[in-house]
Amino acid sequence: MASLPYYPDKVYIDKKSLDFPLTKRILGHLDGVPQEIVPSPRRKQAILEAIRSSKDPIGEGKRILYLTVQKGRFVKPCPCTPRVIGCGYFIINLNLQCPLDCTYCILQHYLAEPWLTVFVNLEDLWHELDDFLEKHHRRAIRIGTGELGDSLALDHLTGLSADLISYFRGKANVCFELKTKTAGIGDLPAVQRPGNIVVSWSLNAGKIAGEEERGAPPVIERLQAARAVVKKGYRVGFHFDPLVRFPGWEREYEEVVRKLFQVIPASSIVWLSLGALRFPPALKKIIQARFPETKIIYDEFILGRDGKLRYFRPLRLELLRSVGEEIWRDGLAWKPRGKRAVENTLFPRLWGQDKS
Amino acid sequence: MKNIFEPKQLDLHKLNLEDTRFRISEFFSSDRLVLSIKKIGLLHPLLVTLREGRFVLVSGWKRLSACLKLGISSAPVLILDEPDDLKAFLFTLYENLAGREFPLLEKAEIVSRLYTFGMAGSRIMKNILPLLQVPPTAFYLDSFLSLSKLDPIAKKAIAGKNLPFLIARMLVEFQAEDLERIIPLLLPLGQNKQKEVLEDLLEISKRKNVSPRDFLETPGIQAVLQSSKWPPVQKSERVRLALRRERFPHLTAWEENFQLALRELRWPRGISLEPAPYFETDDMEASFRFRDEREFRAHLRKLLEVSSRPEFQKIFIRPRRTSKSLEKN
Repeated sequence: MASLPYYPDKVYIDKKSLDFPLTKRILGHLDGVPQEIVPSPRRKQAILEAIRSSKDPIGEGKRILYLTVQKGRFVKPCPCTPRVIGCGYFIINLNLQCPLDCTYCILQHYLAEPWLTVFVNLEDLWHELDDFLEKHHRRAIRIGTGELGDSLALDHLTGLSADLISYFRGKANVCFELKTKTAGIGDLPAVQRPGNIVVSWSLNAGKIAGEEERGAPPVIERLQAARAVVKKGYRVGFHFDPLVRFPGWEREYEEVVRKLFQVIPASSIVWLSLGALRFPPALKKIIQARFPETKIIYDEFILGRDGKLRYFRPLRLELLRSVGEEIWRDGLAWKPRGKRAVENTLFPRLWGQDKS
Repeated sequence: MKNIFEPKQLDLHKLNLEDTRFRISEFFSSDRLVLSIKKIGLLHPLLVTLREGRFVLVSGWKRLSACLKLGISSAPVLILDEPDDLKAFLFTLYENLAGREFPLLEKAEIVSRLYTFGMAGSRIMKNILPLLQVPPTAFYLDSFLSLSKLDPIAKKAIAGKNLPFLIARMLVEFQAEDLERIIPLLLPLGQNKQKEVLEDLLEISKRKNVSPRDFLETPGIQAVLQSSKWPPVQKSERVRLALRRERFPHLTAWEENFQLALRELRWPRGISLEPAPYFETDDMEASFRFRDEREFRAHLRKLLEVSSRPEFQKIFIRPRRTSKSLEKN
């Protein structure tokens, strides 16, 4: 069943963002949705206080859209966990929070403001990106928008992906990634292949997608969306993150990998990444309160050196190795020979794992 | 606030003691108060008000309890002319607030009474929780409301053992039938171990879809609980370890395997050998203390000797596992 596009229950508009074209574009799609101009920081705090005093501030925040101006920097290096292998990725903070409601989502803990925020001062973004790319013109840059929010979940309101694609298209040293769990690809323009724009999906076992990724479409819809963007000329990526252990995980992940390579030609896939479920202890408390029926946080987690709860090492490695091997076998039709060859081939490329 | 009349002497039998709407203290000892009243009399009158034509006590439950123990049949009272329960309750709150710290359960009763008498949650959070030295958040408001509804067995344990908020809050997660079995297990342990037991039990029951009481009925746990070999503290400790084994089967298997290897090797005393925390890496750390060259060399000789034995290899071998274990869980 197709998931419905997101519409907020209410839009708050920072007074300073009123005159920006993006504000007008978004509001043009939200006819009939109650709107309120936020005239001062004091009023903003009062609204946030009201959201925070509700029973479920995170859930409540997802129903509200806030349009404002980015006063800080749009482009930042990925805030990788200390003491783990860094990813060298840059993120563009154009929107914060996500309308999907995944049990394990780090944003529940990471972001201070619970509402969905869109920064509308695009001209500032383009200037900042010009400077950033000028400064880094000699190195290969991987950059994307899907770190603090889903890249496409608000695209039917913002149309930002088309703007970003138009900006990054043809910039030879840059690989720009739109990262999503949705199937909302309608606003993506066709591009010339092979381009430097990658659309990537987060994939998971059917059980996890169904039970733990509320509001996200089933995996097959994500794959069909991926196939459609491949036809539009894009290359695609897939993130098996977080991999979650549950009774029958081996079969279910095998099934997803098999489906992936049935639907998507391997030649269109730029990257696949794997990561096992991990979360800070504070997020566990949030998950317990918001999703009392979930069981995924009650597996054998230990406190890693980075302060995050991770699967006990042999369980973690088994998960990564097993899905990694499926990918090699189904996707590449060969696999490196020798004891632990897949693991040894994959490990230098796995970020987010302990450096040691 | 309305009038408080002059103190008058009231026959205590005229008090409707079944009406406990204003009561916040339930678990207390009145022995010292008994002694005080016996020696110098009741200096501070009780605060009462009229409800449905009868006097009910607003403030002074400890004093009343001491009077009744001493067989005193009448006592000085102040009569509060306040028909609104919330306003009347604020008298007892502010009267007590000035003179003492509230224990955890009394804070819970205060929050619960205010809520019942119609004070909005947001007002309790903003105006009352800070007075009780509680962070003004929805989490604490909900927690204190839940604590007030706890089963008496849990309340008695919290009051009697002065359990901290962290542990008391965890008890809220269990049903009364669970608490009957859990509380006796918990009390002999220190607070860190109490937390561990509650956390493990709750998480095992969630993972396995069984109630905590049903899990505690499993033969392995029952064998410990019904044994006459061990005193309560050892039984609790053994149950704690059994819960940990169930909650972290692979980690405890690795830990036990490592300890077994050290025992088989007769690892020398005075030298410690520790794996990386949670075996996150393959590193191990051997350490010893020494005062002079002779002691240093003696430890090195022991290490060389022990590492030359064939069993030494076992400390590097970890138990095999399969994902089948997850199916069982």
